[in-house]
Amino acid sequence: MLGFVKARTAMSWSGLLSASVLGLGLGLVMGAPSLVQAQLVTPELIDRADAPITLTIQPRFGYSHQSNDEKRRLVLTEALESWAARHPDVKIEVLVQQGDDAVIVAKRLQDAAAGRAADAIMVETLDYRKFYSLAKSFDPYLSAADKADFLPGVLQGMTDPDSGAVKYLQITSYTTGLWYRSDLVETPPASLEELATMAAKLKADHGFRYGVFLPGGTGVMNYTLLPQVVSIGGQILADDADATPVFNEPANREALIKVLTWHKEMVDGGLIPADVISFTSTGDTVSRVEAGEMPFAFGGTFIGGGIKGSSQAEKWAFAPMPQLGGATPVPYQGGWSWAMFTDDVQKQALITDLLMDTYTGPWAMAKWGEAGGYTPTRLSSLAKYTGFTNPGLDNAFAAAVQTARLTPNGRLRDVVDAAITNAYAQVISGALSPAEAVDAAWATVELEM
Amino acid sequence: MTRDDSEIGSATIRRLGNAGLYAAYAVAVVFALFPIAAVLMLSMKQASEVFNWPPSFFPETLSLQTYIYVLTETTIGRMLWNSIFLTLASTAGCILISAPAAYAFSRMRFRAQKPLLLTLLVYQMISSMVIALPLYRYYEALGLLDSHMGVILIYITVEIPFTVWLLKGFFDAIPPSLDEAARIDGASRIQSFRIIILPLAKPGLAAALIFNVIAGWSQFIIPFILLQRAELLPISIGVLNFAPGQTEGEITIPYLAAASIIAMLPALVMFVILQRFIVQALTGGAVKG
Amino acid sequence: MIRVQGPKSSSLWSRIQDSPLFWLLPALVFLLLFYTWPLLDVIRLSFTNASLISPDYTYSLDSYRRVFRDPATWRTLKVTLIFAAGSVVLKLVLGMLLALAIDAGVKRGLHGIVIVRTSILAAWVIPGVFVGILWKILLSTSSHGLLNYWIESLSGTSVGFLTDTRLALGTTILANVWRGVAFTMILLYAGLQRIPPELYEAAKVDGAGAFARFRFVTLPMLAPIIFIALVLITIGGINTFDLIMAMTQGGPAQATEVVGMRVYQQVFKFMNLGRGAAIAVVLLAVNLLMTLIYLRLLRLNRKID
Repeated sequence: MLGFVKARTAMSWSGLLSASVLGLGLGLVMGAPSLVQAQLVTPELIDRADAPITLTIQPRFGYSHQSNDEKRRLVLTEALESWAARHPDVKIEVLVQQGDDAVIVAKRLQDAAAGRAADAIMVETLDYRKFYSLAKSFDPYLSAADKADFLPGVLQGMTDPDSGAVKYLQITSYTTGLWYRSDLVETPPASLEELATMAAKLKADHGFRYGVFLPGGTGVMNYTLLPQVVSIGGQILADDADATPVFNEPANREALIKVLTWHKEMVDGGLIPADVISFTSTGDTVSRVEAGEMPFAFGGTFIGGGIKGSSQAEKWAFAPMPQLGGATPVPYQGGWSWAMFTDDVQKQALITDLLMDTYTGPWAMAKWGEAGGYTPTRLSSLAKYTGFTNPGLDNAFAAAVQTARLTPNGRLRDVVDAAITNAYAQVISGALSPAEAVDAAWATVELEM
Repeated sequence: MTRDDSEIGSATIRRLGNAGLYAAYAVAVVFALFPIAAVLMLSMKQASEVFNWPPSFFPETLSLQTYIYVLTETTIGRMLWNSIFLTLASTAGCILISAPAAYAFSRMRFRAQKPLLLTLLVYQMISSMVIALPLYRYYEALGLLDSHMGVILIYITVEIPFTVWLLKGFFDAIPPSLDEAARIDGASRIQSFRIIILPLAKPGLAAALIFNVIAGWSQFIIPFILLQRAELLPISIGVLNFAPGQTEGEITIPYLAAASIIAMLPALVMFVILQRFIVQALTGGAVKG
Repeated sequence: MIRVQGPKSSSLWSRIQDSPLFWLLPALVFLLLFYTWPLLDVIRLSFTNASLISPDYTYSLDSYRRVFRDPATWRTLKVTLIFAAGSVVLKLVLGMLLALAIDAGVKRGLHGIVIVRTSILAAWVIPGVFVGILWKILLSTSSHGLLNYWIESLSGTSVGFLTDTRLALGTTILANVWRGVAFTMILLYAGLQRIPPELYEAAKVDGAGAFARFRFVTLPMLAPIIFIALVLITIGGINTFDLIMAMTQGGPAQATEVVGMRVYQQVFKFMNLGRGAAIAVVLLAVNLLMTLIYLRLLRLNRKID
């Protein structure tokens, strides 16, 4: 085998060697700064490495003390540091989750089913149903006052419908509505029809590229279509454990077709660009706000952070989403939560305590909400802290979140979501009429049931 | 190719041909480099500049601020090192394992030869996407999850079929009479392999090196499914942290661009350094035809 | 091949070296140990209705039945084959042209060949995920999309490269070719070097022009390499996932939904392990089918010669 190695020429070895040395050098130099960071709090390990008790937590990248955003990093690092100082016998291992959500959820499910899950994992409300039976109860560690402090809709979602125990601690809540240019619009439109007229006028008067933007790719059902259908009395998913699709029932089908027709007419009138079907992320909307391309956008309260940070912040405001015929909007909320998977009672108590100090306690939630631009889920956070009692965006968020209901999260939700997203794309691109698209979506969903 | 001057106007034809070739080169270079150049320009813009209208190719001021941020405030250095380490280790391992196998296919006759070659081809057809989740469960059972060693073993395995085929092709081109002569003189098989075949197969080894490095550098699904800890991630995954959407509300395009350029650099540098040698190896070699 | 025994042939070590197993063992061990089990698991799971949410499952052909009855399966197969075919044709043609152009340039002593080669190789070096993200930024239809700004200035409308259902597939094929043509170029270039110049001379003497020389000398000599390139590009094209995932996620309106995306959707979004495995097996079968077709063509070709 050695002879083979000798067979390579000196030149190739030197090439390899120089590349390796270059890489090694780069790595050492660049790795150095992270060592200089806080002594107790490093990217992966909090507190002394020899502490007897270990807690493993898995937050999402953007919601962790490793996030790209400086404000979030500071808030969390501070909270983690102070907790670690008060608990010298505990060390926390942080495994940040990054990348594709669906793959992460699948891996965590595997872990949990095999009993190898981390002690605490961040879960999105959309995936609640998948983890209810696997997560451990927070009940022994929460007082009645604590539980009552959470918004009613949020508390309902956090509770496992089968066992009645609180399985999640939701840290942020978002809802969706209408973002609008408050410097150009005095009173936000009361109906979708009025929105269409306003958008057309503003586009003509001020030369906007288009009238309304929305992320029309994956998630369009969750953020836009569902509230719009439910507000006019229709329904897409039943409220049961399976999230049984019901949009083929005559009244529901009608409602869905009406909503899709409104969107199609907006596209035909040049007010909604046809390429919305390719966009899904916050960044897509925020970048267009920054570029001043339109006066209206359907979006979640979660893009508030981005808008606040952009150069256009003062010009934008948030209002409940107008509905067809001026119907009262029915908002949905969702967000991120922590779930616990360890059986060890001592660890469970420690974890609840840790989470209360860093993310889910009244003080922590308010701080985190302010830094991240998120709306808290606790009444005390909403009411007491100045970040949320000044007029402005935060008030609008708080008002919206208080009455919202939890987004559906049953077994078939993902299937229906994919089918409806697809139907929307087909309607917007003109491939199918709204009625055809709805029926095609139903056919797909039927195959999966 | 000898010049045939008896053709009328051969010099003009020649010059026309050269001009045509240069034109073709220009088109190819623009096509190949434009996206990279555009991203390079993006990486040197400030975040506020990104949404200027009208959009411009060149940044207003050449700013290395994004690079400084990416290099000092993020763990990109470590991810680069991870990529380099994983790629080089798996390349070395793969060639070490595949060369003897290619020797067997080239220099020996055995009944299982054809079926085995076909099996190798079948393995070549497996996309990492289709085995991703079973791989995760399997590795969990083996205890190889979240380790560089586990990832290297899979990288090697994935590249074996192609490397074996490639090396077999180059070994086949070396006349068997050469290593047979050595064996008649008393050399063992291993010796004839080492002393005769390998040196003559340098172009093949160089090609195997290149293909393995490229394949290892680009690996995405496998490290994504098998690795957890941020300190182990290669750069092909780490860059996703800068993709629009990962951090809500942040305008991260310049950082994404900078991270992408940084991610391309090591492999590009290796190419430029080894450029002449690689091409010489691919085109040279003692054997033609 | 005549095996001639030397004087040390009777030693044990020598006999071990004579056995193919000795040389093949490490490779076989690796393949068996690290790749075979997951593959068998996928095949096994395709015969169940396993799901990631509930631990129980039963064996049946139900997953396959559902897969074949689903019109989406045939649609994604069509998209995948168009993607693969487009990639194959463009990569082979462009790769060939580039290899010939560089070869001609080298022989004529033109300058700047190194730059051309490095540029094309540079695109190859970039992981598929990046290629997707980068092209997505470049082709953006928003006001800060550079390419569309130029196009709009010239023609008045912007082009929805990735957002128009008719253009998206072509755009992804283009991106795939952009990143992968270097591979074909290298293979064909190496092959060109191995063609003995005497064959060209002989053809010239016989009066063959440049095009005829290409057709009757270059192509036949390159045939084995073209064949291998064909097989590998096809397999790569059919199995593409990371590029599409980064560029379009299978959209818009499923215009670029290749089979790999379906596997991802079924396993990771819908948590249907059994159904996803069945689609994965179908993907494998398509790969096998294409390779068998190529093998047949090669055998036919050989017979004609």
